[in-house]
Amino acid sequence: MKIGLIGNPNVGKSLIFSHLTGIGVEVSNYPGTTVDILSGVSCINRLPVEIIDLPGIYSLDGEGDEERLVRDMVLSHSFDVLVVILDAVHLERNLYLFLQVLEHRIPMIAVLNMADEAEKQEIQIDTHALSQITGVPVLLTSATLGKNIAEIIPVATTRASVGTYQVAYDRHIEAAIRTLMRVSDSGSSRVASLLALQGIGTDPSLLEAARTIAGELEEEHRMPVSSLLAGNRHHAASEIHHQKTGKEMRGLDSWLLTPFPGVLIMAGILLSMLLAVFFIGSFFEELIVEVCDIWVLGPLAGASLDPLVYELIFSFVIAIQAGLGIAFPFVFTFYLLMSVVEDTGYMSRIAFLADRIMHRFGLHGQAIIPMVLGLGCNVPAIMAIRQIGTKRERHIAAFLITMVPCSARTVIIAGIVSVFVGLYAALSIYLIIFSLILLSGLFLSKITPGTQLGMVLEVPPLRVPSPLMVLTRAWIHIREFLVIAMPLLIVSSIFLGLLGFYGVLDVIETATAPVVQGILGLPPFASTALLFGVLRKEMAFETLVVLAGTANLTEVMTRIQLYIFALVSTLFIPCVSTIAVLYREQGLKTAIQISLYTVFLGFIAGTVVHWISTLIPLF
Amino acid sequence: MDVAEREDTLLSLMRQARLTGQGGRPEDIAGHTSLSIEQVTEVLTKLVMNGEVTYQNDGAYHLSPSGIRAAEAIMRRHRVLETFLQEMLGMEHELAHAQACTMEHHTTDDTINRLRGFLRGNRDCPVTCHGHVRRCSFKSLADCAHGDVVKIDAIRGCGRGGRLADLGLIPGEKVMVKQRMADTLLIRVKDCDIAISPEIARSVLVEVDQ
Repeated sequence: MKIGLIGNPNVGKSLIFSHLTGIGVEVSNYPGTTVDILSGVSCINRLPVEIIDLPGIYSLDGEGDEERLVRDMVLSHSFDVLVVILDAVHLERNLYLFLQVLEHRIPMIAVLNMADEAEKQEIQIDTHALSQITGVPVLLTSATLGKNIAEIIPVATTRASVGTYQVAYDRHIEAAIRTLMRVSDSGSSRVASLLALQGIGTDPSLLEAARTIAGELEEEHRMPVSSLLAGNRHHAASEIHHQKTGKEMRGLDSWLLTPFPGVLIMAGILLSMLLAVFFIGSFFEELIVEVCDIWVLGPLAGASLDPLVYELIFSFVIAIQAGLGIAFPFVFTFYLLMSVVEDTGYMSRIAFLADRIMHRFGLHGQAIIPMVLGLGCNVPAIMAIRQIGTKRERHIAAFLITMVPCSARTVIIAGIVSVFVGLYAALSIYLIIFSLILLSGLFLSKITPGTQLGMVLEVPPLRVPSPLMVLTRAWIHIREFLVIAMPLLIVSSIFLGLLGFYGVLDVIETATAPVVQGILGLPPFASTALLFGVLRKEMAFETLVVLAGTANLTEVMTRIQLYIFALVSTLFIPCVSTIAVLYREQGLKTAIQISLYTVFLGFIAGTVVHWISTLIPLF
Repeated sequence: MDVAEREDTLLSLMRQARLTGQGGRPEDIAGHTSLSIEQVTEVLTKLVMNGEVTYQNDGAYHLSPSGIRAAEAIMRRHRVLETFLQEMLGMEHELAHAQACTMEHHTTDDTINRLRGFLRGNRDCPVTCHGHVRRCSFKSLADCAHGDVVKIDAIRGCGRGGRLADLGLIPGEKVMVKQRMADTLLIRVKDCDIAISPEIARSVLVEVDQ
């Protein structure tokens, strides 16, 4: 038996899902999209029940990736029962989706979640009356308190029904539905006719007929059919709901959403997140790397192996070591904090606050979300660009996100600059990078063709996040990193190991020496380190240590050389995983453009710092 | 005498009369229109001859009753055209005004009446709803200040129309502006808060709630 959970974003759907399924959740991507579908299994009376958590949507008729995916799954009868999860506090708006789902005539139940919040706001809900009107069993639950959650599966398996309520549309639309239902030989359903009126469906004769009728309807009402339908549904929802307003409960927002002190608070939160990742990350990274050195690399060097075999195993182990050393301490810590920010509902507040400044770069507030995610790892951040607006916006966002210093680059800055040069120097690198991002944004918004669409984003009420949800969310994020970045890490590490083994690296070193030595003022072996950085950012640092033959880098390089090295390797060319995901998401042309642009930027920045340092002593 | 020259002169006199209650001198009219003083004088002489304008002792020209009727007809054409350009085609106010200023001279009364019927049928406005009144009482969500409660009248463009409708932004719905950060708005619709960018806010036409 398959049960689908469907509902608006921010209704506690995912929390209910984790309560129902516990651990052992499987994340799968629907073919052709990056939309995540979570599925898990729950047992009831010793019979397994598969539960699928569908992405949060506002409508079943929309054209977004998520909406289309959910609609396709509902239309193909992928579920035996649908559980519609509604926010009891914002019931009227949520009923809109509920009424749409009812039209599909699939056995379903309604779950009114957030009962505790509704109670606090003195909103009274008559579940019996709602059940009477719609003909569907209604449950009042509270996912945060765990109240009534255990009832969901039993009710869904035994009492789910298709419902009796039907939205009364405008008489012209009802007439159109009647006509369309007679068009095809087998007779199409009411919902198929409704979708066909909005140009959705697979039956060509039905679509053809619907297009003609929809044209007439639009002519007559001077409004797209979809708006007409939406208006009728909202009207029906408000009739069912009978507006009951509760107490206002959002004192904190008057602080968080104003230019002052809202923007300051936002800067403070983001900065303290970065610092926390910086310190917690470096602590655990050292621990992991040391354990790996002592228990794996030490014995490996001791075992007298064939040099080629040794090189292969060594490269493999070092890739795993670096991957774990980055993934868990930095990326996981970051996503853990990030999930707290997301789950409290603060993320959409950041989008609101940043909307104005993002407009300067030809973007809008929503684009700040992938950019902040990019501080963890650029790979999932670039995948998240899909959700923002137009081609122009995605193009600009891809450039800027690639420049955002990810955790691996934090490792370089922390490991080289803050250790050997000083904390202020490390912060100055961030300052340089962020100024370059701002300048690039201004520049790109001038030269990128295309149109701009603004942001429409729901700002949910502030909530205390649930620890279970935070962990699950952080795990989903890091999973993307492990699945996409790790295999590339291992392959590229072995590839570079082989290059070194056959002496190709020395050739490259000699060839690039004039540029690296003459223009950037770095020792020749730095070019190999920079090259490793192309494959894996933090490898630039590790290779430098290996090549220098000492962990105390100040013995072989001056402080200004270390600074320039860190700056160049942070800025120039994204790592191979990022390039791969850029190619996949944005196409070859954009991937090449971004790579060339960042190389150019890195060398220019390095050259300028080197030039200044010859004029005045910097450190 | 060119149609545009004649009509611009009449409109200018009408405006002068409404603003100051006085008649207009050729130099005032030349200041309002793109005509030279010589051209204005020539046009005025002809208008005096056909009785639409009278010359009085204070040195200024005044509209006669027939002149007033002619000027009002032109002004009505202007308003209908401007409303159409602005509300239906979504042009900016300044551009729509400038366009209407040139189109008004060559649009027949029949076209104007048809356009007016189109505008009226479109919104189920009462017969008293005049193009001009409508233009003044409609504004977009972007013009609303912190704390305003307004009713949505129409949503322009179709790009994001669907998404807005799903969130409850439909004609007739009441919206409260909760917060304004520069031009980005936080609005409350159906008890939910939604952040929208300025360009989206501009596409939502609202009526001020009395």
